[in-house]
Amino acid sequence: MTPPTDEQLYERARRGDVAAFDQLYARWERRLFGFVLRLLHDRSSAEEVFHDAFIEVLEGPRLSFAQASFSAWLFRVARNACANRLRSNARKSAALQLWPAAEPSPTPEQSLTESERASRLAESVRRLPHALAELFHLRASGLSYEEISTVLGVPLGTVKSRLHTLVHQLKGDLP
Amino acid sequence: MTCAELEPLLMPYELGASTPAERDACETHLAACPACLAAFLSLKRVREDAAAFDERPSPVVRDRLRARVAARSRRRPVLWAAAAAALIAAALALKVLLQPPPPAPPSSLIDSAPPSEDLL
Repeated sequence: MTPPTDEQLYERARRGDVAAFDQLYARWERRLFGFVLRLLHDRSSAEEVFHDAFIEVLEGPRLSFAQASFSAWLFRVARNACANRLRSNARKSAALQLWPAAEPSPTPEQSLTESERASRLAESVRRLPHALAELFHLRASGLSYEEISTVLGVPLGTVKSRLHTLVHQLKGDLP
Repeated sequence: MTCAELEPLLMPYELGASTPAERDACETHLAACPACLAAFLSLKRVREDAAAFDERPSPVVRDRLRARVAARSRRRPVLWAAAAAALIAAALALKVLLQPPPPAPPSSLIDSAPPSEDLL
């Protein structure tokens, strides 16, 4: 038997089906929380936004899946809540301004081991500007280009263009 | 394609930003080159680690959400009963409003009746 879709689980959860909610929650808990946490850099705020995003989709106006999937809606609501949170507190400047200066690049003679390379890439991701970090985490959450376009509220072409910028930036940080 | 030529294509491939031709080239090379496949899997692990998908919110968050969902289930019969009661009340009100007034006595009888002697 095929497992229920997110959209089916959503409809059941809205009617008060706790088992359906459990399934839906388990599917998206880590990916959504990871996304929110990486945007806000604060666990307590991330938990609030994560909670409020679920409440909004479960108790707010009924979602229409004609144009976007459940996950696209969920991430869109969470992303907008993150943006509001960042705007309304001092962390906005911390998130949007330049990140701390990069570590000095190794000389060409230095050959990076695989683990060094891995940690440098992780560091590069951490230093990404807000818009690119957001894109990275949405993509890493498994969302398609179309879903990311819905979440960010930008055209598909903009998503692809930003993704190329992201790739270029990450590659630039590696030797 | 050599390993050196493939290396810059791995990141776009991992993020799904390759052109179809680059994707085909990556897949062909990775299928035949264990060293590049290991490098690619390492990159993939890094990407997954950077996404921090091992972190979860506190179980309290889930419990609060579950309680809200369960409350919706309990609220529904009450809401339906309230809606049904409101509908019945509206129907009754409509019926009263649309009911024709009781027939008045013929005006000819009122106008033409002579004043009663008793009242005079």
